Amino acid sequence: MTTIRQLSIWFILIIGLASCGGGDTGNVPPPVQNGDTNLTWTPPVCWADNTPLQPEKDISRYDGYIDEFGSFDDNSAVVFSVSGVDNTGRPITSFNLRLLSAYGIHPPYYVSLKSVSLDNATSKFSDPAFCGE
Amino acid sequence: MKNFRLLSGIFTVLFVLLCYSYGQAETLAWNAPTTYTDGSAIGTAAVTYTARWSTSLSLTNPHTLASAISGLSTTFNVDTEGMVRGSTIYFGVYATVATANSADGTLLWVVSYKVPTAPGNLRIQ
Repeated sequence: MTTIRQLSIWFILIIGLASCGGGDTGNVPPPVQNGDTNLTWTPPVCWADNTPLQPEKDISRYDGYIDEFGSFDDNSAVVFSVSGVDNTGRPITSFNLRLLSAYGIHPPYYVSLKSVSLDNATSKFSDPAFCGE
Repeated sequence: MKNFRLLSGIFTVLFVLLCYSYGQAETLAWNAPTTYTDGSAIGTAAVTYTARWSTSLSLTNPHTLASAISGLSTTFNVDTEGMVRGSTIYFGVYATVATANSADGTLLWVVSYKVPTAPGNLRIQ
């Protein structure tokens, strides 16, 4: 896990491409192996000054951070990046953490997100979520 | 008649972003001058401050943030003031003792962009 902090992988998810390859018409999602790995979140709806924000128009991406102890600070490196909207213009609200295993990043760890605006202004860290083994 | 032109060299302006209020309001703050240009102490003389901003370094056509206040800071809202986010603006603050004004203490600032809040309700399912 100590290598996680050293990893600074810009992992750009083109969710639209991912969604095009599915072809699954069933109602039941495929079973998740080795624990739950689908990270979900609620997009921000306001700016820090409490004025309204439209995530589909104002959020460029979400930057993801991984830490084994859940301590995120200014020295934390971006591990993955998720587009703010999919190819239909709707806000993206999930990410499959299992994709990170290709980079040697395996649970257990904590994950946190930052919202990034079109002007490249970043939010604070979100409250972290724990991904167990 | 004493020289009331305040020593601009020590009249420095400090800009403080209220990071904790995170974009709701910004605060322009400055240090009080302590001497006149002739080096003598201002002492207990009443000093007031006028804070302005402009898109030009020479502070032409300035917008007044605060006028003749006794405090060492003033808060403002970027949007209410009509500051263009991402643009460069210039602040100027001058002190007044009796009827004499100091030179401006100045500060360049790139107007901050709006900061989004973080996503919420992170879950792993």
